[in-house]
Amino acid sequence: MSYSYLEHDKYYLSISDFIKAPEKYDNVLTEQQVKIESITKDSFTARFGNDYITVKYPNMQKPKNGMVTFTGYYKKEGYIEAKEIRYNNYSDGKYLFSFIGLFLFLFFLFKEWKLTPRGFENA
Amino acid sequence: MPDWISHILLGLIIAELLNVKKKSLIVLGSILPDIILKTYTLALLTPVPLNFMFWFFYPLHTIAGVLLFSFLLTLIFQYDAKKTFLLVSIGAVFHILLDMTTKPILYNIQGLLLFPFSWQAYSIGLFYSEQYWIVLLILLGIYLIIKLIGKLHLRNINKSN
Repeated sequence: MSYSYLEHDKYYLSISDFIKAPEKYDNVLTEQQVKIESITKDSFTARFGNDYITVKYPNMQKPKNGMVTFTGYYKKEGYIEAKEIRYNNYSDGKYLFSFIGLFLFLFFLFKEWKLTPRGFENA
Repeated sequence: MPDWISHILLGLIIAELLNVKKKSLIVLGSILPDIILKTYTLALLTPVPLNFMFWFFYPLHTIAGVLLFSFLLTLIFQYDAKKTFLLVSIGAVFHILLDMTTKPILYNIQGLLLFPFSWQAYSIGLFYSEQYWIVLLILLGIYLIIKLIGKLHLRNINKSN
């Protein structure tokens, strides 16, 4: 395995944990994949569901139809200081393929089974 | 994390190689770890407040979680329970293995193989998240080759008869 277990061998901190008590997690390393809400010269606003967090990173650009993955450090002031960014351009296409995949799955399921009050039975 | 078509293709490849009669059970397993977790993923795209549910959903995307779910599924399929459990589990374990091909910068949360005994995340690290289409093409190619070989084999059997 080229990537074996790395820095986290205990509970991996969630964004919700950080938002609740940022002062507890100062300088803790994190990796996140996010949608970008807005960009300024030295930072961007990352969207985590209905939570928004400022991520400081200079010269940021908006990814094309996708997300960004970044590593960075939680800061006690409530923002994240990014140290490495990867643009996942066009990664939104994955969700389109997955949506098509759902119908593919249903096709295979109902080809072999029929749904009855007792559960799935041979079709 | 590859897309669902890739996961389904891997399930179909395994089903072909094992010559399984009920392919759909492996296919079901091949997307099972995502079925519930994807509800959380919606939080990335919509303003639905699902973040708080992350650690509720996440254990279902681990080997321990999918074995538990595979067992629960035996209750709704009117079929040999052992076979149902085995086939769904095989699909689900291969789902997790395929997710491990995703290359993280640091930490592949898809690869908590030993959870709940350990939070160590494992990754084979072959493709970045946005390179899902490469995985899709490789698996599609393998699947078509297997189907082609199967057809040729059948034709040879028919000829010799």
